[in-house]
Amino acid sequence: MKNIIYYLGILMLLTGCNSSKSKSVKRSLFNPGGKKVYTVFANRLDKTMSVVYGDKIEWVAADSSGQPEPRFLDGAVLEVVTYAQQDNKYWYGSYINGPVQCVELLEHKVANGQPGRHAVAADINSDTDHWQYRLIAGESPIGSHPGADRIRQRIRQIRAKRAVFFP
Amino acid sequence: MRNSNSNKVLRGLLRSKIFRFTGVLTLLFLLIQCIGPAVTNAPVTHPLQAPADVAGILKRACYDCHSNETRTNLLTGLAPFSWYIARDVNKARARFNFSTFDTLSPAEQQGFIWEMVNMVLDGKMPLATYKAVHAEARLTAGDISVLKAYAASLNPSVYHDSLAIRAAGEQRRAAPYVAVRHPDHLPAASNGVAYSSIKDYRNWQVISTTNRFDNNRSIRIIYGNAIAANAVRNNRIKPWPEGSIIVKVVWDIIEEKNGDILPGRFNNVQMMIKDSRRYKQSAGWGFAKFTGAGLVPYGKDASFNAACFNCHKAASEYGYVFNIPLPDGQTVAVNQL
Repeated sequence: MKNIIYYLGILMLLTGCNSSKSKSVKRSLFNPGGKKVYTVFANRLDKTMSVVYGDKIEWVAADSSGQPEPRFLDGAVLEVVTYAQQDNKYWYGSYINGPVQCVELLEHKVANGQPGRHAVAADINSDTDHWQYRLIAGESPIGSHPGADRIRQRIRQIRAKRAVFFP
Repeated sequence: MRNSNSNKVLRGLLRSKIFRFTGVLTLLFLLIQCIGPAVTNAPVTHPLQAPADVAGILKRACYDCHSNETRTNLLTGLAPFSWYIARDVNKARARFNFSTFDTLSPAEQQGFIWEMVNMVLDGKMPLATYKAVHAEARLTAGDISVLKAYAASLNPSVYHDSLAIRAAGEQRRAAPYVAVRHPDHLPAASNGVAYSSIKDYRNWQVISTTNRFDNNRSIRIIYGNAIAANAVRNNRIKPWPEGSIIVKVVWDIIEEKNGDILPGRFNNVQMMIKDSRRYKQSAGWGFAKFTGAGLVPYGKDASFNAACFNCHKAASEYGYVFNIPLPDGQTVAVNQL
């Protein structure tokens, strides 16, 4: 009887704590460093999904009603995290983000210390020169050595994405 | 002499334990035929309207449980087998019934079709016990492709939808701006799940983003509180730890021909909170949905929690949470048409 208990105890030790299979499974979650979600979009032809985080953004109402629009302060950033699109494993009818493809950063710089301007759609083209583009990680959708025109186009493309409405 | 010997044998037999035991069992078996639930077929009043190839697959694999056209055989009338069959059939018909399907609104019908396709893809339907006895119910890859294509045909893309664009603009113009909501004015659902639990969700970790091309075309951001985010990182999601909270923010989408899926009108905020003492019937999960800029809570009474959980059973392998990305290094593409 004592031997049975002894062997059972060894068996339990060998098998009971063996959860290494689940412990080795990890999921990396993007750390935006305190920035909040600014907008989200996807492209089903490119099979990409993007989350844009923002910082140093003021929200200013155009008038007494309606939702405020973003005003980008000097040093404001928009960080675009683009993922590969994947099928959602447990729901056909939905796509979910896969691995990160690239992280791009737009930084708002104002010349001569002038205060930041309202970021409304009409300003995108003339506002482009106030933004700097940087690839933080991965492969940029505009190539590894893009020219100035492509960079400006990419800035406009990102800036054209409106902030989402949060209640 | 012979008669007295026969009588002795007969008396011995009647006194034997095996004979008495068998006799009791037989009597019990005959008695149970008169009690317990039985399968009955009500009239087919509003049958499913679907193309012939789709209807053929569903009739073959689903109708015995999910319609009023349950085929009868020896087992359907023989207790105790009939009890289990009746239980499954009644449960299936309560979920949806192909014989009254056309009484549902188009939106409800679409919802059930997508749910059916997903239950089939997950291997949860048809039931394994049913397939074991009914070989014709085992769906082939071709059958599943037909069902997926049918579901997708019910909800085609509408590009640069002017209604969706206008709705987004009207919401921005009309919704009163609320910088910070007063704690006393935060809504709560009828099952006790409160928005106050998630009032700071915009500071939480983003777990995933999803967009749907089914009957609920939308784009989403899924957040998790610190407990939930750590559970996702370390794959401790079966079960999720107590106190995990998941928030899903849902926007209607504007689809463009160049493939862009853009957020339009804000639709709702949904949440799941893990509290096993409070939500025993739903694997510990309390659900809530708050719709529109006014965050109106969904559900007339607490029973809606069960309906939410029914759908979430399809994600049981992920602890009943759908929108968890694949682990690092895994890129399995599934559900391809």
